[in-house]
Amino acid sequence: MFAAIVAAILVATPVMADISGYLEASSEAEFTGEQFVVCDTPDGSRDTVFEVAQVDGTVVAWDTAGGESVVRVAPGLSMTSVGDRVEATHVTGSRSAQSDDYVEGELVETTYLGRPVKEVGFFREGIERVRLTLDDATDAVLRSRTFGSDGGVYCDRRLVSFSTDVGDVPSLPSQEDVEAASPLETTPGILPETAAGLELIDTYAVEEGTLSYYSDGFFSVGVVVTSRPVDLGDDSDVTEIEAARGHYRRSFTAGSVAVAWSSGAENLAVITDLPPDMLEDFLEELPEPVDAGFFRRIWSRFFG
Amino acid sequence: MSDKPLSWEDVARTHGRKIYNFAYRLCGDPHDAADLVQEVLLRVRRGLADYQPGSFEGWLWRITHNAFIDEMRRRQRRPTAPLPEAVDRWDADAAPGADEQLAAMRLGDDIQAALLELPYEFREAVVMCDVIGLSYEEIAAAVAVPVGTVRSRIHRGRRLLRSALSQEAAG
Amino acid sequence: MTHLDLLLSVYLDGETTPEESRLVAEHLSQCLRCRRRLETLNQARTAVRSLPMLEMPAHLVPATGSPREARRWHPGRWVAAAAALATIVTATALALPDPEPLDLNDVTRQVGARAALDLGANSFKFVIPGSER
Repeated sequence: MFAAIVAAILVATPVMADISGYLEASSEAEFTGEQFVVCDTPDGSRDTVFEVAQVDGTVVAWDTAGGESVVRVAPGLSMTSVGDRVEATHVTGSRSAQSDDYVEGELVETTYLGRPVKEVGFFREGIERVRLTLDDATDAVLRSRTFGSDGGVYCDRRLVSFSTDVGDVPSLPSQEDVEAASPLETTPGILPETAAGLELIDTYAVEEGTLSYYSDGFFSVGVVVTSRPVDLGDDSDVTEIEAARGHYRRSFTAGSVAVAWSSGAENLAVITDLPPDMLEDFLEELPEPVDAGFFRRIWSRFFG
Repeated sequence: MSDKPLSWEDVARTHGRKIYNFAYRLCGDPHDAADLVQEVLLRVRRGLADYQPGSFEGWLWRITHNAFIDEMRRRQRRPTAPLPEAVDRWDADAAPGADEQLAAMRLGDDIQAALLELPYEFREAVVMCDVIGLSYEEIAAAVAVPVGTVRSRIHRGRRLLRSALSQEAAG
Repeated sequence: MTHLDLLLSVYLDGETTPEESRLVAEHLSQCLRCRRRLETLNQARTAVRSLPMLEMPAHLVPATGSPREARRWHPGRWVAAAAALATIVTATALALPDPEPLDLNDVTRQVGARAALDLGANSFKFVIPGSER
C-alpha cells in the first residue's frame, strides 16, 4: 500500500504511453505458466488460478482442475470451450487506438521469479492505473496490476510459475470446423461512441441482443443490450448498489465485475476489468436505470 | 482486567450496562437488548466454571458476539419486517450542501436509524469500536477475524453511515 | 497523486503503526481532498460516539437469588443482516419461470477473448476459464 503511494508521488515522464506496444511484444513470447489473479473488491477478495501457454502467437488458457474450460486466442479468432460446447468469434475489427489519456512512467529495473524484469506504470489523470512487469529475456508480461482511485491495488494478475518450455497444451478444434460469429454492421443507438475515455470498437450479436466492446487501449468493457433478463450468477455474490445514475445489481469475480440494470425498454449489463471508480464514470454515460422502486416492490411481494 | 470475577452477579453489575448498550445499538429494540443481556449472563454463569485465566473481557465479548450471532441465525429463518436498504456511494465525499444539514441533525434516533441500515458485520464493528471502546485487536478476538478485516469493516461502516446520515438530513 | 481511504479511519482511531501514522500525516499536510475525506469520516465516528450510554433496565441488575433462565427472544421488531437476507430475497424473486435469462458466463468469455485479441493475444486480460459466476 505504501509502495503505491510513494511510487505515485514520483514524477511521471510525460511520454506517450505505449501499453499496447508492450502487450503486443509480449504476445510474441512463448512460455507456459500458472497465472494467479487476486482482486480486492468492495464485496471482498476474489481469486482464481489457471494455466496458460503462449505459443506461435496464440494464447491458450485452461482451468487447473483439468481442462474443462479452455480459451484459445489467436490473431483474428478466439475460441472457447466448456465441456463439449465450443464457441468461436471472428475479430475483424481494427485494434483499439491507444488512448491519449495515459502517461507512461519510469521504467524500473528489478527482478521477479528470479528473472530480470522491467516494471512500468501508466498514469491516467495523475493516478497510476496499470503497472506491468515485463520479462527482459522474452518480453512476456509476468505481472499486471491495476489500481483503484485510492492508489490501492485493485487486481493483481501474476504468473507464479514460468517456463519457456512449452509442454502439453489442451487442444481445440481447428478453426475450419467451427462456425464463428462476426461483428455486426451497426451499433445500438442507445450506446455512446465513447464513454469515460473508452471507445466503442465493435458489436456482436448475443441472444436477443447485442454485445458492444469498448477499450481505451488497456481496460476493456463489454456492454450487453438485450430483451432477456440478465442472470448474474451465484446470488450470494450479487449486491444491490446505488451509484452513477441509480440502482444497479453487481457481482464480482476474480478479474472482472458484472453490473446489470434495466433502462425500461432494454436490459443492460456491463462486464469489465475497470476499477470501481472508473466503472462508475463509465456507467454515468450509459442509459440510466429505470424502476428505482424495484427492490421495494420485490420485498413487498414477499412480505406484504 | 485479567482476574476472574467471583460470580455472574459481579459480571452483571460491572459489565451489564456495556453489554446492554452493545445489544441495543445493534438491534434497536430495548426488549431484545435486555434478552441478550440475560442470554449472555446465562452463558457466563455456565462458562465460569471452565473459564481459564486470561483476558476476561476478551472472553466476555466473544460470548456476547456468539450469543448475538446465534439469535440472528434463528431469526433469518422467519423474516418478519421489511429491511432497510443498505446503499453505498462509492466515493466518501459528501454531496455539496450536506455538511450544513449534517451539523444541524445530531439526534440520537437518526444516528441509531442510520446504524441499523448497515450490514450486520459493519454495524457490529462500529459499535464495538465507537460505543464500547474496544481496540481493533479486541474486536478481532471477539468476532474471530483478522485485524485487517476489522479495519475494513469499521471503515466501510463509517462510509455507509455517512451516506445514510446525509440522506436522512436531505429529507 | 493517489489518495488515502481505509487508512484514514485507522488513523482516526489511533490504530496506525508508527510508519503508517507518519505517512498519513505527511500526505494530509499536502492533500486537501484527503483532509476533507478525513473530516467526513470523523463526522460518522463522532456521531456514533455521541450516542448516550443508556442505563440497563433495573430488572436485569441482580439483587439476590439465582438468575432467571433466559427467555425466548421477543418476537417483535427485529433487524437482521440487511445485505445477506436482501440478496436471498431478490434472487428468489428473480427466479421466474420465463423468459430464460441471459447467462453472463458465456458473454464474459466472449468479452475476455475479444479483449485479448485487441491487445495482443495476451494472457493478461480477463480470459479466465474456471472462475464462473
